Amino acid sequence: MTGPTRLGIAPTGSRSRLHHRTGHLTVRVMNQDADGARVGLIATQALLLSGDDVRIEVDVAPGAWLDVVEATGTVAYEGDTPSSWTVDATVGDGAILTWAGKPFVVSDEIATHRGTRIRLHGTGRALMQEKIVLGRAGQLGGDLSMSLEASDDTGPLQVECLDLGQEARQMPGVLGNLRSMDTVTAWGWTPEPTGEPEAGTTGPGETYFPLDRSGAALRWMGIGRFRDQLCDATFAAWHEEAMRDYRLRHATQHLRHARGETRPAAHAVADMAGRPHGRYRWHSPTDRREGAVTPSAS
Amino acid sequence: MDTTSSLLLALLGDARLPSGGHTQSAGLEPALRAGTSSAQVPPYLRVRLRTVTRVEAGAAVVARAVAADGGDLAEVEAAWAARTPSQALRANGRRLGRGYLRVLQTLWPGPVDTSARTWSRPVVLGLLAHRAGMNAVDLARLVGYDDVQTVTAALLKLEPQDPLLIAAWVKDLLPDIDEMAAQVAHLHTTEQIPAQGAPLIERWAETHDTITERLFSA
Repeated sequence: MTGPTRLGIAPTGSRSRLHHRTGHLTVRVMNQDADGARVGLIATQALLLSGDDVRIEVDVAPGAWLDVVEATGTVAYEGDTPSSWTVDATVGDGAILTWAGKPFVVSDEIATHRGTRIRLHGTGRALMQEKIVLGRAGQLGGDLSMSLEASDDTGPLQVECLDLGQEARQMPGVLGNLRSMDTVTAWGWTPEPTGEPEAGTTGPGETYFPLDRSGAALRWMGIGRFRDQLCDATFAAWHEEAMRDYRLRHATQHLRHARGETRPAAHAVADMAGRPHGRYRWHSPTDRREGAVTPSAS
Repeated sequence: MDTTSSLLLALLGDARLPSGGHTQSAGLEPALRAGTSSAQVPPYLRVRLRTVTRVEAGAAVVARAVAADGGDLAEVEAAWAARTPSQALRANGRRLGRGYLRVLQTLWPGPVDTSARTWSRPVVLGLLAHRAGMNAVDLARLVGYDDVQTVTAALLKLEPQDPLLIAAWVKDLLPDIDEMAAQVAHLHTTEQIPAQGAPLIERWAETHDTITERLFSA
């Protein structure tokens, strides 16, 4: 049995410390600086076979950034024993995790599960894109179940279980005759959609879902191949927005460190409580008066 | 207690109770607009009982347990909201919550939390069930039965047909309601609340919210 793939990143003074453990997947560094890295996830063996339980554990230390890019799509191949793909990520205060998923294709004659667990701390943020396709060419696809649990220090942000088994998904209101789903989800702030989601009255199309507290999802559903225009563009825009905010925050903190200031206690308390809805200002009132960098994330 | 609870179920499950239910189609209006046929209504109802209605029933049962223990109902509200990705459905659930809050405060008066006006229907129903002495399984049945009757009553307005045929559908779904209720009646904590989603129901709810020409608000 193959153990979990582990991936952790922590900022240092010069080059961030990246540690990983190879499991079903291994890590290739594409880009790295003092605070974080962009890494590719590469399969070390044929994936995803019947009976495979791929586990990926990610730890983004406070103040770090991590971009995860899946190098290739994944096919869940047929077989008698169920397979699974689970991601369990912790994102520290002031840190950001982004995850660009590639299509996950569910073959006929397999029961497979995708699980995602995201824990944010303080002002940590996460962004994920998840693409699923039911059936390879000429197939209708096997049974897929999905579970998602995202939380921050205050409590749950989003909890969702989807039963996309062959019988369940064809029922009215689940997926009907649709076979593909592309979901971009942000947690820790509530970005706006970049384009105008096509409202439409029937099945295929995109929908923007602002979450109750802090987060937003854009979900496209369709027939067959990915024809959505909005999800990839939205992932790119939200990624850019999150990284811009992250960089500005760091610049502000470095300025403050350089001046020997410490963060005001009130801000530290607000961070611990998890601030609502992403209309953050990373600077202190002192910064504003002095005309320092005054980012206002939105 | 059991006799009281079964009459309570009749009272609270009655469409004549002025709680605001007449504005609802439980997603049927946008489902029909999206091409669902009226023959597909029974499977549509089964989907709801397995997904969104189960979440609502589970949240109500947990709210009842939390109210009985003197716990914080805002945590149940947060758990329900985290399981309800559609903003339109959250807003609708909270509008209905205010309707049931009036029922609660008039029929079973007593102190309520100042934030109760922001709570959704399942949370207010849980508090109501606790105060009125309704047991957990009847509370879950109430949520399931109300959903089924809401859809079928809306169908008669949207696509008029033989009401007895529709009543027969409801009768055939009673075991499904009981089964759902049995699955959630034992729940006690917010983490245990089911989280089953229905992607198209959620998409249709958002689409419906932007439409001005509609008979039902959700």
